[in-house]
Amino acid sequence: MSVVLKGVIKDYPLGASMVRALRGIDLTISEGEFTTIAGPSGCGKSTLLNLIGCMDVATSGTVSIEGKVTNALSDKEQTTLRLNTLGFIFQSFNLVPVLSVYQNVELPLLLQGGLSAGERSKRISELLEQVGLTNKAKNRSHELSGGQRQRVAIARALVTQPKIVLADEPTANLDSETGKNIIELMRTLNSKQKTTFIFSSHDPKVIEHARRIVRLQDGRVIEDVRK
Amino acid sequence: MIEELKVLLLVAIRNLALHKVKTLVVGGILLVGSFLVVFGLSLLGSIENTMSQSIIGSVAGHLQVYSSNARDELALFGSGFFGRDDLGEIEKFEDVKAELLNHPNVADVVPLGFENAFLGRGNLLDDLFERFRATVKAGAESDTLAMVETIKTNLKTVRADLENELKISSIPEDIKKQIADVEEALSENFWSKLPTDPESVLLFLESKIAPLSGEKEPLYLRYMGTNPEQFTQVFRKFKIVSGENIPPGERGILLSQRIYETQIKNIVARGFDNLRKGTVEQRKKISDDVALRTIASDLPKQYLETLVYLNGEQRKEVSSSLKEFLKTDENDIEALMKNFLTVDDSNFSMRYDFFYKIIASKIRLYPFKVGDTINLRSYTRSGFLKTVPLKIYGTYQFSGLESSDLAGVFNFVDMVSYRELYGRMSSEGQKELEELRKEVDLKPVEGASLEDALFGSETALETRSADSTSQDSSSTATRVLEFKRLQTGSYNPKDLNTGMVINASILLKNPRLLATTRAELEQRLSAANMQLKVVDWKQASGTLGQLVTVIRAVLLIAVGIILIVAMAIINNAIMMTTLERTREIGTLRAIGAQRNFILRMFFVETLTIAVLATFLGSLLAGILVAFLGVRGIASPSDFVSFLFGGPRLYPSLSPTVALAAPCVVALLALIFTLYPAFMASRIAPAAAMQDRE
Repeated sequence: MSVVLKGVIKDYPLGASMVRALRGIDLTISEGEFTTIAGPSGCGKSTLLNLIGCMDVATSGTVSIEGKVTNALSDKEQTTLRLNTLGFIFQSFNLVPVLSVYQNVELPLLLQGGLSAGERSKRISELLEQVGLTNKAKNRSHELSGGQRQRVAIARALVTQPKIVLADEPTANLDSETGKNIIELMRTLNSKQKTTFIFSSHDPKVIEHARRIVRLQDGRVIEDVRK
Repeated sequence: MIEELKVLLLVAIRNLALHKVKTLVVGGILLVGSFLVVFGLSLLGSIENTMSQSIIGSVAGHLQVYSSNARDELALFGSGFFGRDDLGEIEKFEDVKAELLNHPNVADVVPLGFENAFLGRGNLLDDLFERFRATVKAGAESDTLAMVETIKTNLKTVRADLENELKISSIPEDIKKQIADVEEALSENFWSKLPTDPESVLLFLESKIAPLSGEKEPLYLRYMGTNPEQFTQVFRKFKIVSGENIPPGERGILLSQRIYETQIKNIVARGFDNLRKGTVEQRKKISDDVALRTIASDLPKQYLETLVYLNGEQRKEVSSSLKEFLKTDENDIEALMKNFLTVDDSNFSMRYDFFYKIIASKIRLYPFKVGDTINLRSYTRSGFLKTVPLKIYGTYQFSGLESSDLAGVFNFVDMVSYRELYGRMSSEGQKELEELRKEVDLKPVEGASLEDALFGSETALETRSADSTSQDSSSTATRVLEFKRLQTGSYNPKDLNTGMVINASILLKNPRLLATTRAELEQRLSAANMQLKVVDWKQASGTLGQLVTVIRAVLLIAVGIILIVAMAIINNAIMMTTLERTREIGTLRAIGAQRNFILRMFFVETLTIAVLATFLGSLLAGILVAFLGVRGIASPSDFVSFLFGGPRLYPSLSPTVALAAPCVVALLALIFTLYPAFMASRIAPAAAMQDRE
């Protein structure tokens, strides 16, 4: 099992009071699944993804990634987990503006260390080819379109060959055509490499591409369907 | 690791390029800070070096030794001119010297002692009447008449002064009486007595009129007793300018050339000299410079200081030369001289030349010359006024420090005369006293003998000075001079190095061991039961020695304040960019960058700009120092030229400073990056989700 959530509750302080974003989530996502967390904004999608992505800790309940319970991990251990096991794709792409496309993709490998320049180059070239950006390797992010930037982000998320890729509204800042392409790319990579993809979305057109749809409302799972 | 550093460096450089204004502000501040530190410290280091050479090479030596019973601290260059410091005494210099010379690093020990004396300079009328008496005696009628005119002019000035004084005086009766005396002296009736009864005229002038003009300001001289021969050998900067050094076994004084030229020389000539220095050497304009303007406006008021020295023939000569020079019909020599001395930028150089060509040769430029004997007056320790006649053997200066008042502050006398002025007896004097005692069959009794010795010594020395003042030493034949030497001038040369001194200069073989040698010497002396302390030249020179230390502290504090303000700006700038980059940092954290990585990212960024800017600043300072090292910095004043060790300072760069200063500034910048960097490293990875581009 890739991701297992048991009775996860998450409270956020809002001013003096607490807001309960997740009200007891039980969810299991298997390896290689292509899952959408769907629901209106404010339903707890991002909170759920943050918990899975080791960027936040549940108020109660447990979150296990690849069999490891993340609740008790230190910041350092969480970071290591993010680096080696998880890949991230953001709504706003979040490329490092001062680096080129190639350098952006290379960054996680450098954080990991261990690979030689040649090995890195080989892996990055393959990925850039898969996302169709071989000829943009030397460009800076501001020279790219939104779709191209998200492709760079996908390449960056996959470069460390993570078990799980988390994508928070990856198509929200893209037009529907580009968004569709991005989802198809993710789908292709998912089927080729057996990487688990979990992405959140509120866009019905995007959601229909998913194999499994988990619907959230008011911090609870209201629907969990597999196609 | 290296790969990561590459990325960090790349990110840093790119970020620096991205935030150009921030980079320029931070870099500029660091550059200026580093420049100031390197330039300032190099300059101060150079000044300290030249100043130490000035101080060590003129009188201080490397170390000074003096009594630990001293109530005041030794201040060779003065703790205040009239302040009489209690420095205690070194009873037996010969023992101290021997003990000090036992140390392998001590090259020589020179006995010293310094004190203030004054030379009464009489008054102008005294001087005038004295020469009038001589002229009358000589009997040349034209000369006499010319002098009568001069005297009358002077009297008119005196009368004008008295009339002014009358308006404000609380004793108008006395002043009125004095005015009546002057009126009397101005009357034709008074002068008609001259051919028949010159003595009554002269007496009236000398007794009633002369006191009215008041004493001229006495000349204060700082004198230093030493062993002249040894001193010359040890202090290589010391150079005799005119005359010769005081021979061993002789009493005498060496005047500072500087004092001779700037305090003793005729006041009108000095006025011309100072104006020339200002206009020619310093290229100032009389009309622009306050100091020069004051000298120029004082000059015409001093006209009598030239006229009193002229006899009848010379007056005529000068008068006609001036008439021609000034192209005027004026006949009155006083008006002519006043007119001549009224100088401005346009006529100064012509008049300077004329003064030295025509007038200077006819007047007495110096009240005393090499070869004359002067009476040095000083208060002894016990408070008696003591006068010792001393032959002026010559004048001296310290090479490179010719124009410095500080280096030229001392006039050197032999140690024996010094002791006498101090109120100590020479061995000769003591022998004399012994003989006297034998003659009168005085059996010294314990305790009482002390008192006797005191009184005895005073009388003996009083007699001595009276003897020699009565002698006119300037034109005595060698034989007479020899005779005089035997009688009062000479002493046993061994006395220079034995007996009481106040302090002593210690010259070292290896000056680098100064600090350790100082400590060792102090230890040796205390082990030998000598109550003495040893201080280094810096301490010994009084406030002067600490000057550079003080300036350096002020500079460092100033630079420190600038840097702290700068660092606050840097801190703020980094904080701002941190806020701007929250999402970027969050992203980095999200994709797996540890907190350390974020810290390192900020450090590398600061370090990149800091190292570039500070070393550039240091380099620029180095270039400026190197340029000034060739060109030299002109000393703005005589005092500064002492610090500069000459008229120009040629600064040199200290490699330590040039390397250390930028490192320190960069380190400071790094320290001030700590907080914002720490804050940045605390940014949560979830910040990556903040939805704003």
